[in-house]
Amino acid sequence: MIMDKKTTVKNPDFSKILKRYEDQWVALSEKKDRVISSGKTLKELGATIKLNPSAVVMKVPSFEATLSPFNR
Amino acid sequence: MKYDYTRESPLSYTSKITRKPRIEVEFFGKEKSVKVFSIVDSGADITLINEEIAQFLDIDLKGLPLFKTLGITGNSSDVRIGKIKIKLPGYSKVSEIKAQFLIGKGNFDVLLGQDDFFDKHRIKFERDHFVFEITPVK
Repeated sequence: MIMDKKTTVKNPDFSKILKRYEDQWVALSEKKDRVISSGKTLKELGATIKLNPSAVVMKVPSFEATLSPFNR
Repeated sequence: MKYDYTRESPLSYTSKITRKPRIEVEFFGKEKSVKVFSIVDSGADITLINEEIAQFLDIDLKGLPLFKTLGITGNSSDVRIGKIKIKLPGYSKVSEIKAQFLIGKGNFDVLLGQDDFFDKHRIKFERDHFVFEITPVK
């Protein structure tokens, strides 16, 4: 991906794209505009990432709790 | 380079969209890499990485020093402290940063923290218009 360092990198609206994936690992397309794979563990996405090295992964947080430095 | 804060699903107590400073960082193991949409967290003392990412990259954590990370309630979790190579989008340089790998389950992916991600990057948060800027400096 070619990026101009003076422009702002825009993101799609994840509130729509990730709504179904609470508490799951997802692999996003290079433009991050669609989910190409999901699973309860990152390991489950291994084959997808191997086939799509430009995929971007993230763990979708819970919508029922705020994220703070709060250990178990 | 400047980045948009993400727009993420509202938490259940509000209808307001959650905004986070996330950046696509490529993390490297010996033979594999993975791009993680990581959170830039100025409140984290050191970068914190979910153990599943280390496992995916075949990084052996057993030989790394054991330490503890403490939360606001005083409870602690075990971490292993080591180094990991990273690359930011739009930059060709691969750099190495210190990181702690959480041992056990974690409901997060990566928090990019002060020691030493913030040491090596100039970071400006402009939350009022949902933009942040990261420039490598070392």
